[in-house]
Amino acid sequence: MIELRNVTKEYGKRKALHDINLRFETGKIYGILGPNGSGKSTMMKMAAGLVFPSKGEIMINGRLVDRHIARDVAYLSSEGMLYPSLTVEQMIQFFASQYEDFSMNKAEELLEFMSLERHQKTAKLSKGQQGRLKLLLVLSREAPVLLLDEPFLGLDPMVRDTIVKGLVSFIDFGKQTVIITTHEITEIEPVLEEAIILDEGRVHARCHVEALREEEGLSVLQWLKSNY
Amino acid sequence: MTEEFQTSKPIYRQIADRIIQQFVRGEISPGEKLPSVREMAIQSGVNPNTIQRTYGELERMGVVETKRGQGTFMTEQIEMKRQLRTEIQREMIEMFIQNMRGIGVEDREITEAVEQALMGKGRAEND
Amino acid sequence: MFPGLLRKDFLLIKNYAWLWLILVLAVYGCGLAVAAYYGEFFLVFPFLFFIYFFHVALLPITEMILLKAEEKGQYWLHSTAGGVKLLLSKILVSLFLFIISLILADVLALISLNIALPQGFINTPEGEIPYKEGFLLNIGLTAGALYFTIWGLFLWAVYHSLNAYPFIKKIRWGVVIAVYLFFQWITAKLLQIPFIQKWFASWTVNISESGTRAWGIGGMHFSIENGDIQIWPIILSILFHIALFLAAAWLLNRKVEV
Repeated sequence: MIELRNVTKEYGKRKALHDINLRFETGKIYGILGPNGSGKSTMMKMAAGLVFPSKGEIMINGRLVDRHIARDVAYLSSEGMLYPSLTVEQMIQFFASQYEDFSMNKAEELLEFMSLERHQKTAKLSKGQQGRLKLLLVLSREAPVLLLDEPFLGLDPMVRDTIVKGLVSFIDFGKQTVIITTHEITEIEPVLEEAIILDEGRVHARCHVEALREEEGLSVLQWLKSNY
Repeated sequence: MTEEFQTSKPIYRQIADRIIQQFVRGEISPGEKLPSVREMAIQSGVNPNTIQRTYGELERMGVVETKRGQGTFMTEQIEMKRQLRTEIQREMIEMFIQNMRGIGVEDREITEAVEQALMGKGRAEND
Repeated sequence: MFPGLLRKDFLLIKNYAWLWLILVLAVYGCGLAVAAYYGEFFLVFPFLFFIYFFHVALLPITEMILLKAEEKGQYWLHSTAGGVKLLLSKILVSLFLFIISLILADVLALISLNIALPQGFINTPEGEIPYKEGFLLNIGLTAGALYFTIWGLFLWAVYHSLNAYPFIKKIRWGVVIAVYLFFQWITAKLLQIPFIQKWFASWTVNISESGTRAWGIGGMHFSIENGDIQIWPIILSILFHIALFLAAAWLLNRKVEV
C-alpha cells in the first residue's frame, strides 16, 4: 500500500504539489492523468524516493520513503534510465546486479515479447524500442510496487498496444500495486481500475473506471474532458 | 490489435456480449473451453479482474460453466443457444426500428422495405 | 551490487579510455617525429612531460564524464546502493584508467631514458635512471589528481543539491566557487597560526639530501626542507579529503533531487 499524507512540494514559491492525501491499495492498477505541470511526475519521483516532500510524508508498505525504497519500488522514468553506450544485454545485466528481485527468466521472456535485439546498443534503438526496453527492465522486477511515469511518451499506437499487452501479460495482478501516469489514456484505460486527475498540484477528481461506465456511461477520456 | 470499447457500457459487459455473439454465430461451439482469465485479458488488452467479472456474469446467466481446476467452458445446452439468439435478434430488431423511426420512416413503410429487400437481394445486412 | 556498479561505470568509460590511450601514444609519436626531424632525441622529453602533467587533469575529467552520464534523469539514485558506493565506484573506475595510463607513460619514459642516457643527451647523477624521482613524480601526480577529483565530486554534489532552490539556481556556479574559495581561505588562515606551524614541524621524515623544495595546489602546501617532509599535513589532508568524499555522498543521499 502507498500512502501520501498531507504531501506538499515547494520549489521556492511555486508549489508542485499541494497538500495531497492519497491511498493506493495493494494489488490495484491506478492511472494518474493531468496536463503537463500538474505534478504527476513529481509525485512519482517522490514515491520512487528521488524527490523529497517539503511537508508531509509518504509511506510504502509501512515504510517511510527514502532512497532505499528502490528495493521495493520498480520505477520507469520518462527520461534517462538507459545508458546510450550499453547494449540491451548489458542494461539487463546491470539491472539484474542492482535489484535483488530482478528475474532473469522474466527478462528473457520479455526480450522475446518486446522483440528486442540483445546485442544492440541502446543509443541505436528507436524511441519505441527504448520505451519497450525500459518496460522490460521494470517488469522483470518482482517488486511489490511498480511506478510507470509516462510509459507511452512519444510512442506510436502500435507500440502503445504492445506495451499494454506487455503490462497485462507481465504484471502480477492482485499482488503488485501499479501506478501509471499518462496523456494517452485510450489504450491503457481497459487495464486501469481507478483513475485520478491531478491539476496544478491538487487532486482534482477520482473515479472507478468500470463504475464510471456503468453509472454515468462515460469513458475515462470523456470524464477527463467533462472535468475541464 | 486490442479492440476498441464503447463508452456507454462497462467493459466486462461488452466482452460478455462478444462471447455470447460468437457462441450464437457458431464461432464458439457448445462445451468448448474458453481461454483462461489471463489469456483472455492479454488478448483483449484489459485488466484480468474485468475478465473475472465477465466470466462471473456469464456463469450467473448460465452461459458458461466453471469446472474446478479445469477452466471455464461454454454451456452444452442447445436450448441456451436458441434462447440467446432470440434475445440478440430482439435487441437488433428493436434498434433497427428505433433508427428507422428516428429518420421518420413509418411502420408500414418499414415492413414493405424489409420485404422488398428480402425478396430483391435475398439477404439483409445486419449491423 | 558493487561489482555491477563497477562494471557499468567501466562500460561507460571504455571507449573514452581507448581514445585516451591512443592519444598518449600519438603525442609520444609526435615527439618521436619532431626528435627525428631535428635529429635530437632529447626533444621527445617535452612531449613526455606534457603527457605526465596532463594526468593531473585526466582523473577529474574521467570522473566528470562518469558523473555527466548520470545527470539525465539521475536514475542512478533510484538504487539501494547509497551515495558512498555510487561515488566510490566512479572514483575506482576513474583511478583504474588513470593508473593504466600512468603505467603507459612510465613505460614510455623508461624506453626514452634507456635510449637517451647512453647517448649522453640527458644528464643524471652517475648516469643512472632516476627511479626514486620517478616514483615521487608518480605519487605527486596521483595526489594532485585525487585532490582535484575529490573536490570535483564534492562541488558537483553541492551544485546539484542547489537544484531544489530556484532563488539560487541561477547563481549555482557562483555558490560552488564561493564554497571552494571559502575552504581555501580557512586553510590559509589556519596555516598562519604559529601553534599549528610548530605542530606540523614536530614530526618530519627525511627523504633526501639537503635543498628546499615546495609544491602544492591552492591552499594545500607540502614542503621538503633540507630533505625533511612533514607528516601531519599529509595525514590531515588525507582525512580532510575522506571527509569531503563522505560529505559528497551525504549530499547525494539527502539533498540531490531529480
